[in-house]
Amino acid sequence: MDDVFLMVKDTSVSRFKTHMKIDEIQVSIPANCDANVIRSFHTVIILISGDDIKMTFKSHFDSELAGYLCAKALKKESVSWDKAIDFMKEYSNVVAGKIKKFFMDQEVIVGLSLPIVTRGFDEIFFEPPETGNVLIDNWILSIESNHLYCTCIAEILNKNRIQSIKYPLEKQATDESDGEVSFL
Amino acid sequence: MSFDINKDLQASHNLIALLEKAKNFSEITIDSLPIVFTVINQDGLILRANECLAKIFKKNREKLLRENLSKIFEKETWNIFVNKFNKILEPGNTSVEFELDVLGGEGADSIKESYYWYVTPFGKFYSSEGHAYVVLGQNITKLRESEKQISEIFSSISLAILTINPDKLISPKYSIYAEHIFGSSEIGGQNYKNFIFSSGFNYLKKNSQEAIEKLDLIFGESELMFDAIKDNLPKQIIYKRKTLEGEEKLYLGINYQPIIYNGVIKRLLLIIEDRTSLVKAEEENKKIKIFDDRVVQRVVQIRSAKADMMDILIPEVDKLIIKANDSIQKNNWKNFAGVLHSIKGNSRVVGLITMAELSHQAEEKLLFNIEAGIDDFTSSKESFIAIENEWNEIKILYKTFREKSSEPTEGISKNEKNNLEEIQVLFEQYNASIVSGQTVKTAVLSEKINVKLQKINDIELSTIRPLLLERVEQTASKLSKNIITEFECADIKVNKELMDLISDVTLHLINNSIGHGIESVEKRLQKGKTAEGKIKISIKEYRDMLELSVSDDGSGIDINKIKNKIVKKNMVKLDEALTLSEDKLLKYIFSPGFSTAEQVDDIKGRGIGLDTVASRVNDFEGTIDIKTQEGQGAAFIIKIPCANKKNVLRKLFSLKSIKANLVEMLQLMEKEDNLEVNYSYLQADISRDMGVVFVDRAKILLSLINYIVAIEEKFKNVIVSWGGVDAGLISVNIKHEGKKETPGNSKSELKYAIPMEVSDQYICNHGGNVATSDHQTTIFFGFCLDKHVFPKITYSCDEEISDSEKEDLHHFMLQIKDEFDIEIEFAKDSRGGASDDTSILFVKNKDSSSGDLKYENSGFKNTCLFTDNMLEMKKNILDVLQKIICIS
Repeated sequence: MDDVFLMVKDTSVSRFKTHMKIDEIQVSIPANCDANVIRSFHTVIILISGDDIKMTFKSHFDSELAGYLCAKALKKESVSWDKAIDFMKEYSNVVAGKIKKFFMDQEVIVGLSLPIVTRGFDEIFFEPPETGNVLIDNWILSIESNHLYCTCIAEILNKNRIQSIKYPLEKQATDESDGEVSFL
Repeated sequence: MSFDINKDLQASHNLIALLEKAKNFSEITIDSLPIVFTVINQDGLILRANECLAKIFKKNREKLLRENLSKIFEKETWNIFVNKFNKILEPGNTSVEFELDVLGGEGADSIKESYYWYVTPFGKFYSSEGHAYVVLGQNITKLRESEKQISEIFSSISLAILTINPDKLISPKYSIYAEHIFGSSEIGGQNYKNFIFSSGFNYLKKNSQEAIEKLDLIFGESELMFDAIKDNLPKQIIYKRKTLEGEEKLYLGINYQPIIYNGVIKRLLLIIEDRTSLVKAEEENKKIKIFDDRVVQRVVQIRSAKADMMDILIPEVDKLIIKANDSIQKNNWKNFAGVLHSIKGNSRVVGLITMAELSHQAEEKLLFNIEAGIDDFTSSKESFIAIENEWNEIKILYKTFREKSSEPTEGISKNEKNNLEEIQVLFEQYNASIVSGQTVKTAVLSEKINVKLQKINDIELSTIRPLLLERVEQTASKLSKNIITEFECADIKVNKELMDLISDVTLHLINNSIGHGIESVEKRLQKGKTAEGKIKISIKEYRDMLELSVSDDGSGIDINKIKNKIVKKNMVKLDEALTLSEDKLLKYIFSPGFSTAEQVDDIKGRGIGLDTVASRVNDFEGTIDIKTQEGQGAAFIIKIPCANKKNVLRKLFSLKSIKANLVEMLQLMEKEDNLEVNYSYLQADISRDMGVVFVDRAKILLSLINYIVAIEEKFKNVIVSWGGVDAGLISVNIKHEGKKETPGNSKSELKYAIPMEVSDQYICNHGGNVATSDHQTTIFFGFCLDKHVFPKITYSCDEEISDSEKEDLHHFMLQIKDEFDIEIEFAKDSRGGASDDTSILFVKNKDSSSGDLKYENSGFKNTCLFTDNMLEMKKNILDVLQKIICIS
């Protein structure tokens, strides 16, 4: 599962760089890595789900961050709230898309939900299932003092199948060269 | 298939998008709530906050995540919050509500605001954040400020505002002033009836007490229950407030207001006002008013009294006051009663009614106590103190008036001065007679004083001259006539009433004369008369009569005009008018509304002048005659009795009563002055009661009594005998030691023996004579008694008169029969007596009798009415008898 999480993390980083058209970002680990911890005011959630794995990718941000990131990506002074939200939703979407491609290449069939923006507070409703097969990963993507919290919660449904997934090292290096992301 | 799946996915995606939107709106709604909405964990960290809380923090709400809610509270306040918050953790509690202030803003900008908090667990969710709790906060700052303002207002209102709850207890929330009114801070929780009403319950009227008892029943009932008793609830009660010194009586006004919820009385609002000072002020005002009324009365009475009379009265009453005090000191209560009687009499004479009343009441009470053998005279002493105080007040007031009055005290005529001195002497005699109990003498002296007093108030008749002359001048000027006036007037004084009559009548006649009589200058010249008309006004005195004459040399009265007028006015028929004599025709000009003037003006009149003149003269029992000569002039001659008969007492005197007075007087003289009275003559004659004496004869006898009273000081050994013959002759022999100066003509000698007014006016003029010798003066005069003048009186009673009233009437009529020796008979049959009889029917109710008319046919010529006032009725009977018996 570590490879899977690594893949997700790398995907989020690479997509973030692409989104933001920047080269350098910092990746860090938050102090509290518990599940359903309220990270920020807003959350975009996207579900990548199949018979073998159910994965939720969340990005946590507040309005200010979203506005900053979107404006920066679009090289504008400021952007509207709707645009900023769309930006964040698209980010989650491309991350999830990349994850899906990875799984599909590994012959793990998954599908994608729509990215949904909700309040960070709703985290308290998102109690992870107590199946014992849930794994959670949290990281922070930072540009200077702007931090985007990311969470990945994966419920392994087919342990053998998921354990067989390898995230080749060479892939890690080439992720950064993915093409431009287009907005919806 | 894949196409279907894509469509399904598409559908799901659409749904998700809609739900996202819906959720977003919900979030916006929560964010914009006007109350604080926050979710905190057990550590107080904010997990979610809305805009309202963000404002308190003065931060963006997105930045409030994991801020501590405690930051908006003061430390002590937060501790309270935590304490309250912790109660949720106790079993059975699902929420807590409390009020706490928050600090809005930071540092110097922070202000305290009042919030009402509601805290409850946020469902059963447990996350890594721990347990979550919803905290709602309502800003009640403005509400509290309003409450504070209202509370301040209530605190400053000087009213006790209480609510009574269904447990009949006073609510702990009451206005602060209630504690002041009731003198207690322990008002809340008390039973309202015991607390408020019990101390003054017994002072309440019975219906108010019952209403209070029923007040408990209104709780839980409809408003109708309250309406049924509200009118009887006391609007004012007495409350005994405990003080350090004991108890204080308060008068509290109460207003009752039921508080209704869902149509049922839940509580009762009482608004209580302390009216003690108001009630006391009203009582004081009443006292002041009584006092003021008394002062006003005093002033009016003093001002009404003649200053000269007061000057006479004051030393007299001062002496009596001293005498009274002396009597009290010596416990000589009978003497004291006499002095009170004297004070009363003196005061009445001058018109000091209050003083007279006080004395009268004190005298009555004292006499009652003496007669009843009550040995406690404390109230009499107290009454006398009040009399003395009143007297002192009167003297002070009088003195003040005198000092401020511009009435001259100098320059009174010698006559007036003599009169005053005489009155002073009479007063002294009067007081002495009261004290010594000489009732006859007191009565006589009282009458003398009254006569003297009347004379003081009399006015010189000649003072009318300027008024009359002025009227002539004015009227002549208005009518452009030239008038010469002659005026002659007797040198006498008359009382005010007579003066007014003479003045009014003469003015009328002057108007009449100038307006109707005297011609214009041209006409006069045409007739060969002088240009100036003449009016002669003459007022003479002749034999007790005043003769007023107003004559002119004008055109005289046109008899034919009178004749035409009375026919035209349907006063008489034409043929009758032709037969009327001149005298009778002339009388018609005194008829109301009769005027022969072609034009009405204020001079010639509307014909209301002469009828008014006639009416006024008639009131004074005078007469008017007219003399006229056509072309020469007219004269109106009015005769009026000088001594206004209206003021003269018209009394029926029986010989018996006069004799009784004489005997009483003689007995007194015998006792006090050591006179030898030969009663043998008297005894022999007393039995010869001859019936009723005419008034003027009675006056003679009264004067005689007065004379005897007067001479007792000049002569000794007065013997009076009373002679009489069947025809009615009264002779009075007075033996005395005084020597006549010259024998012979009785009249000339009279002045030495008897006052002139007695001899000349009464005795000699009424057919009497006086014979005098050295030691005896005999006065005798006769009168004719014609029993036919005195008809038999038959009386009966209306059926409405009760048996006891009839008995009272019978008794009274018997007294009259006995006293006046008149034949009186009771007719059982209420159809009157014989035709010659005079019949009286006593009727109870004035209205039911319809006057004489009702009973005329039944044979009653006179009807005596009374309306449940027997005393007045008896007086009326005497009036009727006067009319019946023809007093001259």
